[in-house]
Amino acid sequence: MLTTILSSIRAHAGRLFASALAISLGVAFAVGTLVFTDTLKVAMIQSFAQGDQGIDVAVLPPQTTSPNQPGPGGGDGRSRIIHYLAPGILTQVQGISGVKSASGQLIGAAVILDKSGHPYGGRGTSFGVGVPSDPSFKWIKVLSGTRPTTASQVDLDSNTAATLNLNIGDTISVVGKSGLPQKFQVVGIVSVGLTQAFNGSSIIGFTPREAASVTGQAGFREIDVIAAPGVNQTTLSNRIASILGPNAVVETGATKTFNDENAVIKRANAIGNALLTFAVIAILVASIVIANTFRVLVTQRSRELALLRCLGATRNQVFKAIISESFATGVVASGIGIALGVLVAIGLHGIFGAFRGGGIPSAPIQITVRTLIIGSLVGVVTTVAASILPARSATRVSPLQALRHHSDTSFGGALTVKRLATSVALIAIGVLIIVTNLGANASLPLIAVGGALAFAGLLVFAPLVVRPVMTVLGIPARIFGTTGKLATLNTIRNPSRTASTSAALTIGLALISLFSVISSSLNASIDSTIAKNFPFDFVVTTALRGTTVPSSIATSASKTNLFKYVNEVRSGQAVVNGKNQDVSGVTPVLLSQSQLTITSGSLANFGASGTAVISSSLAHSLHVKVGETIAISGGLSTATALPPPSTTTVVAISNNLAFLSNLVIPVIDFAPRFPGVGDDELFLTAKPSVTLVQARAQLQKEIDPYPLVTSQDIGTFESNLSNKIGQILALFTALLALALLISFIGIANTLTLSVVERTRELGLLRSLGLTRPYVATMLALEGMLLAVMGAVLGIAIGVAASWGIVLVLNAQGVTVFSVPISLLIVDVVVAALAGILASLIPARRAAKTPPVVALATEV
Amino acid sequence: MATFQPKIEYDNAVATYNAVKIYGKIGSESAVTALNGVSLEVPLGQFLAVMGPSGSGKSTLLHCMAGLDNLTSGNVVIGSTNLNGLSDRQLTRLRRNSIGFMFQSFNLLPTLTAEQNIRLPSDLAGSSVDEKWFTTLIDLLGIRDRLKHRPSELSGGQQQRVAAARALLSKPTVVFADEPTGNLDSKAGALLLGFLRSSVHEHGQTIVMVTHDPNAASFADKAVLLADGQIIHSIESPTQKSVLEALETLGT
Ligand SMILES: Nc1ncnc2c1ncn2[C@@H]1O[C@H](COP(=O)(O)OP(=O)(O)OP(=O)(O)O)[C@@H](O)[C@H]1O
Ligand SMILES: [Mg+2]
Repeated sequence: MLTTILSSIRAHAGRLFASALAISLGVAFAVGTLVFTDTLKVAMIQSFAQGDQGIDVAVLPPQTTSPNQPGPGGGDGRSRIIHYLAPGILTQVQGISGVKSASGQLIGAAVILDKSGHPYGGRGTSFGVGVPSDPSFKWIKVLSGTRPTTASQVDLDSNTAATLNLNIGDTISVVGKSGLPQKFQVVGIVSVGLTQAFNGSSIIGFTPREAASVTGQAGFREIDVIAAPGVNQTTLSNRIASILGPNAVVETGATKTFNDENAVIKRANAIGNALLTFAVIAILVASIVIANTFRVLVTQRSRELALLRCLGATRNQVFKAIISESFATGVVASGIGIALGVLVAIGLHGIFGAFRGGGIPSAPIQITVRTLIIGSLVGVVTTVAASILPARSATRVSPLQALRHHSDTSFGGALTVKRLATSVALIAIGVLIIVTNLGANASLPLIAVGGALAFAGLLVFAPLVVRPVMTVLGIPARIFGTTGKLATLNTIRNPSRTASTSAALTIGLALISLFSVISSSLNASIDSTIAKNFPFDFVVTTALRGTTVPSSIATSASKTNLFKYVNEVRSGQAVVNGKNQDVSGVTPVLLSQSQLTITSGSLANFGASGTAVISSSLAHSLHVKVGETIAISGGLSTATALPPPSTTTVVAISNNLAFLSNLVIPVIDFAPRFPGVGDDELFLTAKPSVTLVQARAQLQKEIDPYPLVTSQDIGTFESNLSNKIGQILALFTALLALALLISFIGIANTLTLSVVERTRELGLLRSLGLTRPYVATMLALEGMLLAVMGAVLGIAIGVAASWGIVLVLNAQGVTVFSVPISLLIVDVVVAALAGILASLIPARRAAKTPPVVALATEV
Repeated sequence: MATFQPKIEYDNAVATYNAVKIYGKIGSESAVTALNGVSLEVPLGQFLAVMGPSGSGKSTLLHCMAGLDNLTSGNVVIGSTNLNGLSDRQLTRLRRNSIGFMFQSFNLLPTLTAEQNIRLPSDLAGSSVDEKWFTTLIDLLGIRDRLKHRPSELSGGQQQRVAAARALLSKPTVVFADEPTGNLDSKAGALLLGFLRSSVHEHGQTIVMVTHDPNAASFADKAVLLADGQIIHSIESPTQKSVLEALETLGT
């Protein structure tokens, strides 16, 4: 039996190769993700280890266990991090007995200007830090040069220095909180633990005192303590904790290292899990390709299988033969996949580096035993699982089939009650699972299961639409005359094969179009929100996260008398009824200008001190109604004394506060709670008597001294927001690329198999006078039709699904359903071209078939 | 000399009793009665030729006798086993142990060599091969120097002789052959038929062969003529002439 299996694998190696490649790519993605994630973990742990090296006790701000958030504002970009240790705590710690030395980590926003005066590194990727004078605190290590000792000296991290081509002795311009450039001299190149792990941020190291003055950050992210000789970590940690009380969280060095590592692993896992989703999609697509290949192979070999049955092979033996073949395929494919996976890991590193704007930390590529085991299991199990159904149908081949002279390929695709019922049931169950899970606590895995079920239902149904769809798609193919007609007929002759071949592509395109439509709807909704709610001429923003537009700009712009409205939007985090909450401070007229949907109360009452507008979701979670009060406390914790709690009356509730926070208070209440915080955005409207050109010029003059501050016309502002969504769409597409590639391999594979199957027929056509170019054209048209059908079905499914999602997201502000038709047309055209490309190899094979040999071949 | 040894005492290698085969739904317009009450006993060591016009039910009879297809009514007995009600597994075992097959074409797995093809049934059954008998067969058939070749490298006659070696290797109770010479020229055909006859006469093999060719039938011990699913004539020790005459009376 073994000889039979082996010889058949050898004989069909070519036919199996393409499907093995499909699995290899899927495995490669999974392995690549694991390798990438492991490598990222190691790199990040190394970086944290540098920060924690030699530290006996770490003192952290309350409410955080380890300072594992990225730098200022680096989290979600909107909420300000308010957890800092007040400067007084450092002095207090230094005075505790058993403390040899203590140093505070001062990290704030500051950015270098490049030679043309533009801030380097873009948004949110630059920090100013205080370099401790004591080298025992190793979170900053000097690689060359010295530590800054005077106010005018700075150190630079090695990446930034290399990129900007800066050396010790050079003079640089830095912008911090003041928004105005200051000159410094580079005296050292450093490597930075912890922070360098984030987005490859650039780091400017000042003396601690200068760092505080440049960044405006007085508090510390962490205070590192080195114990006096003979003092135990735990003892010291307990002592410090008891002295500081609730003002700080105190951890031993060992605990902190442990917590940091856990946090790093969590972060890396989160990225890894997101990537694995795409790997799963790729593997799913590959399994469709595999299942399809085996189905075709079983059909093609039905006479051989029948002969085996005649000669005494049991059903079980036939089943085992097919399964062993798929097992062997799976083993080989996994091996190749694991090797490719390492390349994928390097590619992912590149993609993420490019996407996050500053490279990500690197370490030697990590290939663990776990990765190898998972990789091979995934490949083998998927391949074998995908071949189970074809293998079962192989056992149903009756011995009698060996005696029939024409082994008809199954035609399938008949509309049976069973097929319809299965399809409807699967779709219904899938949609039900999705709908019941969409709510507030959406479970992504369950939604995915629902999606997969609904998709399976569509697949069951798909053969039924092959004939009508192909008949329509075949119309343009008619310009190729008989060739076009033959190509169309060839795709219809086995509807279930056509359906499952294009299904692989359908998955990818359904996801891409789903995402395209949703992001386009998101864009359109933002546009319409901005157009409706912020009917202003200019938006002023800042280029560096963690910095704000100096409030002086608003003041002086008002004084020019050129602007009808100068609206400020500030944001911070306070404590509302005992819970952390993002707060926006706005100029009252901003709200009355915008057309917010007010569900209760009135905006007319907003503006006086002690008034607030809240979102309906916050109203719901706080159980407050219009006219009731909420208690706001907290604010910027850098101040030693926090502002006292204030009682605020809710005057209106809205369900579309757009990009304001859920709690909106007047600027006059915001300013004292967040001293020194400037504006996130300024929205300005020119007076009717003033031309836009005039107003723009004046505004430019106001912001000119501040390199980080930029002014845009509202239109540019909108398109910048859209760009961001476009970037995410691009990343998404890049991650789906592999799944798409696999589905085109599937198309190439099916075409090759059908060429093998049709050798006689092709020979006949050739002997009847179909020239080689016509044969190639016919195959190209078939490939194109398969691809276009997959694409069109995918887009139909994607658009339908996104329509549902947009409906659900309506409450979250996605109010417009917008289908990016031109983008989708591009998708179809690209798919068509790729389909033609996929036909090249099979077409060559078909064209090479000499008429005579083709007629003699016994297939 | 290796001689055929029946395992249990029985006189007929294969027999059918009142075999009826109706294709399609019985009573419906599309129903085709392919066999209409065929009773036929093939004693051990007989070479039987089944003849008849196209569509008369020859292949159907062969398939049903070999247990590849079910009768609508009636019985088939191979050796001492009645095929009625046998499961797929039991039928498979029966094919392994008691039946040899030869077809008009596509007898051999294209991926296996001639020798592997010959040994395939015993491979599948996991049983051992009588090596002496194997040598005898390949020498009698003159395919010794072709053993390492694949079917695509063999002539049609050689392919059929490999198939014959395979059918006879396990010394089955009965070998069924459906037009084994249908694709061969008269010389290659005669070679194969001569071998089949000698396997019957010298080694006691039983063979049931469907054929169109009166000359092929003349190699058999007995010929039965089918028409419209019924045996209408039977000729002992048929000659080309007697068969032709019988066929002519049928008006074909
Ligand atoms: N699977 C089938 N379904 C329906 N009818 C069938 C089937 N197989 C055979 N028949 C019909 O049964 C009758 C007998 O067919 P059979 O193949 O046994 O004839 P035959 O004698 O072998 O013919 P030939 O000499 O042409 O091979 C014919 O009328 C044929 O059309
Ligand atoms: Mg026949």
